[in-house]
Amino acid sequence: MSTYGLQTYDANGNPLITVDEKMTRVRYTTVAASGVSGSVTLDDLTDITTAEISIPLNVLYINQVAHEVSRSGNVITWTAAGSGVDSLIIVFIYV
Amino acid sequence: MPIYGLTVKNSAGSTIIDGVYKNYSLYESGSFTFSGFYQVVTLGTATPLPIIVAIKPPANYVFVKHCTTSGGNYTGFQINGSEGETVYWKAYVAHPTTKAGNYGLLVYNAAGELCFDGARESFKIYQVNTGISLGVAPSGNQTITHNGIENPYYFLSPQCIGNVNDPGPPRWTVFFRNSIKQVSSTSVNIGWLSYDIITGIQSGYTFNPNQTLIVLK
Repeated sequence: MSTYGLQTYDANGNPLITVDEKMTRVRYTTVAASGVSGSVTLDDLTDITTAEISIPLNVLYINQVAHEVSRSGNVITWTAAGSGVDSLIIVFIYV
Repeated sequence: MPIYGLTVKNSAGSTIIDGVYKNYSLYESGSFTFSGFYQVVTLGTATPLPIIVAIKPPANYVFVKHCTTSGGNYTGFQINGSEGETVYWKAYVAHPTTKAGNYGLLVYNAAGELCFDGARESFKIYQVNTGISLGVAPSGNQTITHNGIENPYYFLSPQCIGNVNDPGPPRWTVFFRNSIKQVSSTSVNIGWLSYDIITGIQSGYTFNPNQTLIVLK
C-alpha cells in the first residue's frame, strides 16, 4: 500500500480505496435491440484502456445469445449473434 | 478531462475517480443454493440503472444466463448451475443515486449526480484476462489463475453457445453455454455447461468468440 495520496475508509475504519487501486468507470451504455448491429465513435478513448461487455436481457429461447462487442480505435461495434436477444452494451474504462 | 472538481489518480498515474465518469459501486449482494438447475434472483429494489452481476462460483459450472427487466427497470437475473451448489453474487451499478452514509468522500458530476461514494464498495479490478478461447463444446475449457487474491468474484463476457448433435436414433441436440467453476481459491476453469436438450438435429447456433474474464478485488 502506498504511503501517499487518497484513501477512503468504511464506517469501521477499513480501507476502501487506495491510490494503488484499479477501478472501473462507465463511459458508454446502450441497449442493443435483438438482431440489430450497430456502432458508436467515442472520440475521447484515445490512449485509454477499456473493456467492452454485453449482457443478454430477458432470454426466452434456447439459442438466444447476446451481441458480440468489440473496439477498433475509438469505434465500439456490437454485432447481433445467434438467434438474437436484446443486449446491454457497456464500455467501461479500467486502469 | 474535467476542468473543475476532483480528479484522483492511482499510483500508475491513471485516473480512477473524477466528476465526469461514474464509478461502479455495489448495489445489492447475496447468495443462494440451487434447488434445481437454475435460480432466478429478484433484486430487493428494482433499478433503472443497468446492473453488472459478478459471481463467486462453486466447484461445478455455473453461468449468468441473463438479466431481467420490466417497465424500464432492472429487476434481477438468472443463473444456471447444478442442484445443491451455492453461488454468491454481487450486483453493481454506475452509480447509485443516493449516498450510503453521512461520512466519506462524495464526488458529483456537473448534473449533480453521484459519480463516487467513498462509503460504498467499489467495483475494483484485480486482473483482466482477455482472448480466452474455449474450443468446442462440450470438452473445451481453460483454467485461469490469479495468484495473490483468494476467492474473488468474477465477471465473464461475452456469452457463448455450443451444441452437440447425436444422429441417433433418437436424434437430439444438447445446448451448452460458457460457464465458470472454482478450481481452487486462486483459480477458476472456464468451460461448457449443458443447459437444455431438444429432439431433432439443430445446427448453425454455435457462437464461440474469445472471452474476457474480469477478476474482481
